[in-house]
Amino acid sequence: MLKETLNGLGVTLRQMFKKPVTVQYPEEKPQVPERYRGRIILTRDPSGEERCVACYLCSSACPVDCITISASEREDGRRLPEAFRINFNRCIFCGLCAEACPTLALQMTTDFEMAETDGRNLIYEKEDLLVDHGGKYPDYSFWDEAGVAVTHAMGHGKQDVPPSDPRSNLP
Amino acid sequence: MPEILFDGRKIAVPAGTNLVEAGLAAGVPVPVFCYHKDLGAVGSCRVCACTIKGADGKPPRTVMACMTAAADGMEVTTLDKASVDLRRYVVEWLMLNHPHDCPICDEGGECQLQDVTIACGHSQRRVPTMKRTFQNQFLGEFIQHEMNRCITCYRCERFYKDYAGGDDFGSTGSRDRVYFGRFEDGPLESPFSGNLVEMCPTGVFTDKLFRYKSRVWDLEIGHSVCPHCSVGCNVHPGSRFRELQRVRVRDNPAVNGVFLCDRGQFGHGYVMDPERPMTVRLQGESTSWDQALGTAGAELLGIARHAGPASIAFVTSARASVETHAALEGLAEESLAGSRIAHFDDPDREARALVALQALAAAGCPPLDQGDLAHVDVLLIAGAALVNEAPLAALAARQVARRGGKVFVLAPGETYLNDVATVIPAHPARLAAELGTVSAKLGDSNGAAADDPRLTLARALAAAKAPGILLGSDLVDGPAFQAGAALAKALAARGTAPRFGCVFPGPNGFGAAAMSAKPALPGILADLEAGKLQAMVLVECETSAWTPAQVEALKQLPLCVVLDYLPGPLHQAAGMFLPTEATYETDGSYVNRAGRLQAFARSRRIGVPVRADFQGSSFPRDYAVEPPLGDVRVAWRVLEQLRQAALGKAEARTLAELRAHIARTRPGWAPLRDIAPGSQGAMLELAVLAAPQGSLAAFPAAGSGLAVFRIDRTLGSEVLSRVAAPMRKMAGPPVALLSPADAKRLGIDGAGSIGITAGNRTVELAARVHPAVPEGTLLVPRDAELPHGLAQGAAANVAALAGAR
Repeated sequence: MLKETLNGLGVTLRQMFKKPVTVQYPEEKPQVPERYRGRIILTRDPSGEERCVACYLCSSACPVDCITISASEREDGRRLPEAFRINFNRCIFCGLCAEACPTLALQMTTDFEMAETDGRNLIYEKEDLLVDHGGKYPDYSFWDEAGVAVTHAMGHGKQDVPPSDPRSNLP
Repeated sequence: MPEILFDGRKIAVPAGTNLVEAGLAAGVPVPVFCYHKDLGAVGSCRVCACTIKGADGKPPRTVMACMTAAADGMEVTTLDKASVDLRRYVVEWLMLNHPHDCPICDEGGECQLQDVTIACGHSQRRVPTMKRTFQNQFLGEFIQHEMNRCITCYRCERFYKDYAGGDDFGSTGSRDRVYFGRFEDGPLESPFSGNLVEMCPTGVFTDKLFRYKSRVWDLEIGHSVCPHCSVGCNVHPGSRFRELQRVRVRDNPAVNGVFLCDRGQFGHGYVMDPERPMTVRLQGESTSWDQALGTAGAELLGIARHAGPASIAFVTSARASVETHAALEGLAEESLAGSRIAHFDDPDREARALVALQALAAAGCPPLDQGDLAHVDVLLIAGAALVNEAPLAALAARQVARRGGKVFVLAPGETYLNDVATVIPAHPARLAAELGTVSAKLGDSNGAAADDPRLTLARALAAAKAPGILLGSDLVDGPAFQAGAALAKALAARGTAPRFGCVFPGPNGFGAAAMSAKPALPGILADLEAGKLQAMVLVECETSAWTPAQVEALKQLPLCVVLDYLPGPLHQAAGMFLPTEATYETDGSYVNRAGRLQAFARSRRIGVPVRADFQGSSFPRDYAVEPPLGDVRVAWRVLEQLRQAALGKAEARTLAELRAHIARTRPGWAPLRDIAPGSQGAMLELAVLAAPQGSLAAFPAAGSGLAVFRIDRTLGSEVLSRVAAPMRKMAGPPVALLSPADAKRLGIDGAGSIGITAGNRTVELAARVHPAVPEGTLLVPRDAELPHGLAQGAAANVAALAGAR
């Protein structure tokens, strides 16, 4: 009985001389890992254009259905979301959307400070989500790799050879 | 029946079944690209590899399932290493040149290539070579071309050229440069080009109207029936965010199979037309449903009391559902008993449909429905260039010829079947005589070679096991309907099993005719013009066939209630306008041209689409339970509510109650009780159906001037589909067709401009020479303006206009 009590007090005594683990948030900001799953952003490609092509993969991957998109076509043939909404009231920051994103547009950030007093402010529209950088992948441009003539003439993408002549029967 | 072991499952399949079909029977879907149940097997894609052994004593070997017939004792495996590896390599080399554009491809989500690629485990392109590319073509307003995605399965060409008979599309080039497209940019000419979207196993051909709108998994997809002609093809309308975004085919083997015409697939623009009236209006002011229905009910009752129910008329049309027709009849009861109902909005088409129904009953043989065309060996199409009136029937008729059957066309203006059919361009006024000649010659089998195509036709019909006779609508007069039925009867008397069918005007033309007791519209219109009417309720109909005096009299009526979903002059003229739901937005049923009852169900929540409510680049941030302008009601429910208001009924009948009422009170309509959307439909019992009264005069005999016939054209003349701009653009302006001899007489070389004079009015119209138009006739598309009062087949003075070409 006495032994157990002294053992317990010993643990307490030892802890008193250790460095405390408490972070003095918000005065002191915690260092979160680079791959932390915080606030979601929509990034831009190296030319400064929106990366998102409104493919709907994030919205279908989302287990809580918090992403709503409406796709549209710009005059130059670029596919873009005319509206893109994430309802952060519902979002569980699972990161499945970012994993699904084929154009690396949708990315998770380390920002977790999103608290609001009004839930309506947690409904983020496209302009709230768009940032002016490429996030973790500054160099990737989907349209240069896609084989579709939008940012370049047909056959002049990174993986393409110039258009072949379908009228030719030469070997 | 060979018995085979398919992946360990023992099944017996009919002899000659290929291993893909056998696999489906065994519950093993073998992956395919080039194989299609309606296009057959060509073995070009190499993805259906499987391993067989045991049938012929040879060692086990890997074969293409689509090219191998099941043989007794055969053991088939699809999951052995050799087959799996082969499929994986095939997919890998298909992916060598496939672009990396799935995220922006509209096929994504319903792409066979995507599915098979993932199923075969391919995820990384191991070869660092560059990808070959192609220039895409402009293929019109309906189809988007993206050739880089092609995997060379040849399905598009096999459908477009072989199955549908198109000649402006095909393949060129060699090795990995095989290219599918037109010789040069331009709209696809085949009226069945939309099927390329479904045929292509990947995204080379996609729906331009659906371009960059949604993923298939986000769509609300319903079971519906195409409202653009009387064939009654089954469709899946897909909508999202209250916007109807696309229409795709629903496989109904009894009707359309997996095909749809461009009118059906791309004619849905009227649903989302920005001009579409969506609000209840009373004397030009918007008002509430209760207010409007109460006013209308009270006024109807008042007019019935003071002026008598005979001064009230109800008119609907062949595009209104069976339930709407029945609900309208429910209005003419009790205090309103004695008011009149017309089930058609065009007197000519009313007479035509009633007489067609009489002919179907008189023929005494089973109706020739779309699915039955697959069993016909000799087909006679009389009085219609079928592709204009019932496009899918023309596609099925082409398959009769492709199967080795014979097709005869006894009509002017044939454009679609002339390469596979014997075309006899009969003058519509002589059609009855021509059919009589064929009937008379059925027994004429003396061995002399038949120079006369009519004799060939008679002999073919007499020798056929399952002859089919299909009459059109616009170019058939009363005697010709009777002659057609008599021909079917004569064939039956000779011991064959003929089938006889007619084309009806509108998707529910058969239903409207079966609901009618006798022609009612001419009387109503005469009374309207004479000022004897006080009130009219017009449900989903047009006044384009009415005279200007009748339309003017309509505007002067004390009470004019219009229920519709199309904008137009009627919507402007109506004292009271009640917006109704279009076919894809509602529940109801249609009866197709052979008497097949088919139910459709709502697939779109009506209201202003979310897209129209965007605030900049954001979705609307205000929330409401009811969508804006969402209170649009289905016509039959509005009529039931009007009945409540006018007749003091306790409550409006539901869909099931209405259907049960029709099934109970009308002989032959019993199947209506149990029809469900998404089924094959059920046939009305033609034998017990009450045949309507009515007659249709013969066309005037050829005289001076050209006999003018209004005809449909595949695209552009049908009232719903022509609302949207892409359809009008693809259809082009209406062009009248005339015979080479008449053209020569008028001094028109190939194409020109003509003036048509009747009465004291002249209209101008573009005209073109057509070799299969008989002398003395002028075929004018229904959407072209004609002098009013010009009856079908009546002679008009036609002169060439100088200048405009």
